[in-house]
Amino acid sequence: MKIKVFLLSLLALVFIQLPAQDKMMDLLKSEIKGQMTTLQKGEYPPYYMNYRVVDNYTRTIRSAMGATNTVEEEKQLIFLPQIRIGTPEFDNFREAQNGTPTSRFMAPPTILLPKDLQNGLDALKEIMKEEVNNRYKFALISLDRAKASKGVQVENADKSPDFTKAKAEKYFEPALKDDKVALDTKLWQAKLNRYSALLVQNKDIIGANSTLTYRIWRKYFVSTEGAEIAENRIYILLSVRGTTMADDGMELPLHNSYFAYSLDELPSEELIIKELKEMSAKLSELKVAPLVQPYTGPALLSGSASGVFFHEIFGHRIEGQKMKSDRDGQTFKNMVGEGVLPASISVFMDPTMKKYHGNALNGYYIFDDQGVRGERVEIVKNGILKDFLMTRTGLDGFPKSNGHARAEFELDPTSRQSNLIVETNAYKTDAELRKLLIEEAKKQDKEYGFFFKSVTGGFTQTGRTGANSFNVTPLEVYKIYVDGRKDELVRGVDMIGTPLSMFSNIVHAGGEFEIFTGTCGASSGNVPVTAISPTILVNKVELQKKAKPTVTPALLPRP
Amino acid sequence: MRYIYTLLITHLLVALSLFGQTNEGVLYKAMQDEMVRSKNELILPASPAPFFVAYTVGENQYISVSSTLGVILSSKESEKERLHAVNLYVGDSKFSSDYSYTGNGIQSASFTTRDDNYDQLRRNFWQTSDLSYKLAVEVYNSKKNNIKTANIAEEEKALPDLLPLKKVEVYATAEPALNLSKKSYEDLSKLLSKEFAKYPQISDSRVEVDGVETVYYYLSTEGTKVKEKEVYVGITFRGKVRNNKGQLVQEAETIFAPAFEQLPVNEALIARVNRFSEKLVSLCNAETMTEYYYGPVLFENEAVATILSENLVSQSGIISIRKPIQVMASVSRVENIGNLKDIKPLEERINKKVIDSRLSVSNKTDLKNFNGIFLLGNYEMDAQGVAPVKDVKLIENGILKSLLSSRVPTRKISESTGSVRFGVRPRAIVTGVAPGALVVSSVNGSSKEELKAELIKAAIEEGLDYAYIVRNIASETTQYVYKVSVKDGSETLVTGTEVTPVPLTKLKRVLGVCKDQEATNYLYKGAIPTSIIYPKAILIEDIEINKKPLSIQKESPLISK
Repeated sequence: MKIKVFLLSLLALVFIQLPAQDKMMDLLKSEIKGQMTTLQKGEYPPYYMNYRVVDNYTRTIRSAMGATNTVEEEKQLIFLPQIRIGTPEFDNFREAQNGTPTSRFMAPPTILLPKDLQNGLDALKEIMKEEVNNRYKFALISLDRAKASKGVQVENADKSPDFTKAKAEKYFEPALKDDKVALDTKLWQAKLNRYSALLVQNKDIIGANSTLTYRIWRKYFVSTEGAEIAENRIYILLSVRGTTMADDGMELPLHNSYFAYSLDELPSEELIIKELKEMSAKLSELKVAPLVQPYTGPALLSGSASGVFFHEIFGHRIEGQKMKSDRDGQTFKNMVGEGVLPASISVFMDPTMKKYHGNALNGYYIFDDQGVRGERVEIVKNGILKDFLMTRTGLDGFPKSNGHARAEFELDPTSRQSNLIVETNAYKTDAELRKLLIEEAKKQDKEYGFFFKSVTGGFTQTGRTGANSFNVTPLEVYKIYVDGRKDELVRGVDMIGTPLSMFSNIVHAGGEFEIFTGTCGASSGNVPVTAISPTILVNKVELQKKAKPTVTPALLPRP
Repeated sequence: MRYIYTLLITHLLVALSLFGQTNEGVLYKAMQDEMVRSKNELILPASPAPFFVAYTVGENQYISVSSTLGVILSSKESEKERLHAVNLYVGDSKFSSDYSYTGNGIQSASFTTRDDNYDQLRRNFWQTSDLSYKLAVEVYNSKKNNIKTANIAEEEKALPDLLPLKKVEVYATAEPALNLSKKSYEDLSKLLSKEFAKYPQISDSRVEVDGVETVYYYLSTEGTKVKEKEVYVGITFRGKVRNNKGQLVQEAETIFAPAFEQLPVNEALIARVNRFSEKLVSLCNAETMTEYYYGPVLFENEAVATILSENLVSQSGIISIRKPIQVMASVSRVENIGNLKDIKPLEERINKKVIDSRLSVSNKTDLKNFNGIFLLGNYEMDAQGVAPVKDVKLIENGILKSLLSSRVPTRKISESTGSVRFGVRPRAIVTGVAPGALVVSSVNGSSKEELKAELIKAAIEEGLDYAYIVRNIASETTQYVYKVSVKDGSETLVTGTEVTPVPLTKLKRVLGVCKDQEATNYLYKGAIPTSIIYPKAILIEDIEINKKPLSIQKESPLISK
């Protein structure tokens, strides 16, 4: 048995190390070489280029209240080159995040390549040449602009290079076989209809949606440094959302989501249905739950709520690349080596983690979008800030990428989160945390503390021009009374605050570790992420009222 | 024998469901039941009740293929998607909650289940009807307050908001479904895009072949029941060239047809690609405009269609408009009417001269073909369930006679011409007053050659050495402008021009009109299939053409000029 395992591992190694025959990979290598050589004849020869190609095959099925709404399929082969001119110390990306003109109203173009390489070789080469040419011309403009503003604008305090060194990786996964890519659409339409129909049995529910997103990506990356990478990614996300409405018109949603790398890894239908029945009952409770008033005081955040909380208020502030600009809030830039969280708390960002306790993680990848191997990064160790999420854009004191340059298809990458993991070395049980919450509430002379069981997401602002704040949107919130009364489900609040004061208020962690699977939207587009956290006790949170509903419940009963 | 019949019918039913056909019985029943319930039972305390409810359901499917140099870049075939929109008014036909008078419905379109699931269809209609009613009540109250101080003539304030229906229509189109065979679209796209390989000067060439179909189901509490269909197939050629100064010139051209089978034959389409390419390549060596021009200009072909459609097919042209009333609402967003407030309607000039007396304009809704070109603009029933007037005389010998209208009266228009058209666009329900086929005809016209001679003569009279012919003014870089020597009539293509827009007032007296007509199809508001038949040339005096140099591209060793 041991021998078999060893042999298999050996074969796998050989498979990975040897550059297998892949037409696209060969083409990319030959094109980047040829175009780099040609561009050396220009006034500003590039010192580095990379080509990214994403073969995207996404299918989405949406059901509402027991019937199919839409069935969609996207198949695209997208090309995105990056051209760097000037020097690694000062290049055309100094002031621009993207290698093509973009604005709030203008997204970068989607450059499609033909899939038929047999007949489409000339077409493919022409498209690549045109786009490389366009980006080269924009690179000239960007470099001119950066040079022109040098000495005129107040210079960034950070003096690190614009492009740091990295190992040229070689990695090859063969393309997925058809059976891995196949999806029985009819079967899934029926399943999704069953899930959303189940919620319709509850008359309190006004909306029930179930969605399956089935994504297969094959990502190619080649660079003039010699990187050659072909990596497959599979993302399967099943989500079910139910909505009820309180008598004052407040919409109250709850949702369950399940993430996997293959369809057979999704939970059993029995488990999903059991959890949907629980969701349905909870929605009926929420419909009649009392409203709460603005509050400051102690609160427990469940693992998933805490995961979102950390993602928003902490994760976005340790993204290294944006800290290079003095326009960023740079909350933590000069706090490395200092305590930023309680000494019991550590925070990691780990794209190499594929599963956690058997659960697939959305933020897993092998290589980032600069062809750098994703690394587990120890961000905070025992409360002390240690590191940032780095790309190949340097930051003073952080001259090396740790593989966190990520982007949606058409955008150039910047520092983004992957799998965020919060840990504690002073673990408290659920019961202990509850006791500590009550004690803290009593100390603050409060009638109750809060327990945030689930949240839907949030947002944060990290710049300097607006308030450097965050907002987390809870779905399921309970009052925990200090006098031992039964916990009370409540509604109508958002959690708000500013980051540094919030971190100083975290006191304990423990209980159950939960996973929040999500998609993070920021300047380089939407990227898949996960946050894993234990329950945390915060001695002071601030709650504000949700926006007033604009409509009242339907006048007529639901058909 | 009976047994065989039963089997056949069963097979037929199975076949229909396999191909995703709509079970109209279920859909109409769900529409009817929820619509009636909404009209009879939606009521808020001390508020007006609905007096009119109509549901429009649109079922859309499309194929979109893009190719370059004989290979496919993207090919997307949508599954059937269904949306619906609600028109719900409270009050009565004299004074209702309609404030925008656009007929767009009080709510934007919402996704609707594509399954023929009676319960879920009703739930979809229930949610939007509820919101529509609450919004209608809110805007009704707001309108009541605001109309007192609105800057609108008293005569207009006194007009009813909705004209009575002359005839309750029950109609179902018999038009066959659009051919959405993906392979046909892909083959054609590949075939045509391959032609660009002959032109190495052209870069980024694309051939996009799209087929889009929306089947509409309209039901109202007045008893109207309509199934109508809007479709089009479009082929777009695109390409770029770099001229001898390193400037980038790009061009696109679209050919429309009502069905895939009604596209020109492959040989004719290939010829169109080559003509398009040759014209584009000719821009590489075109002269750059050197001096400002003010004088006579002969507009030909697509340029004439652009000028006429921009001036006539608009709410300041032959489309009637009722001034909207500003309202406020909190339940949902009200329609943006800012762009409608300052329109100067042409109806003020009914029975007055608005264009050259040699020109007449009519709207035809049953014209299917003109000189071998299939027209997109024919239709049987409008989006308010009104059978259109098949031939409306809009302008006769330059005198404005009538306008295209909906069921909303204006000061001078008191009947619907059945012109609220359905549009066709994925994930949208688009409606709007628009022509079917707008026919602009002339009397005492000249030939193109005679008009060119007239152009030269007019230029000489103004002491000019040259004049201009403009054949296309589609966009900033797509302008086919030719400098015409008054000495020998020779034509030179020029770039870097900007033809000043030609307003309707310039058409009141023109120097000449071509007696020959041609036709083109286009999508009004990007969605409503419309046709225009127009004189092949119009000679207009006092036109400005300015210099507008194209930006020069940065040098690159990868692609030089």
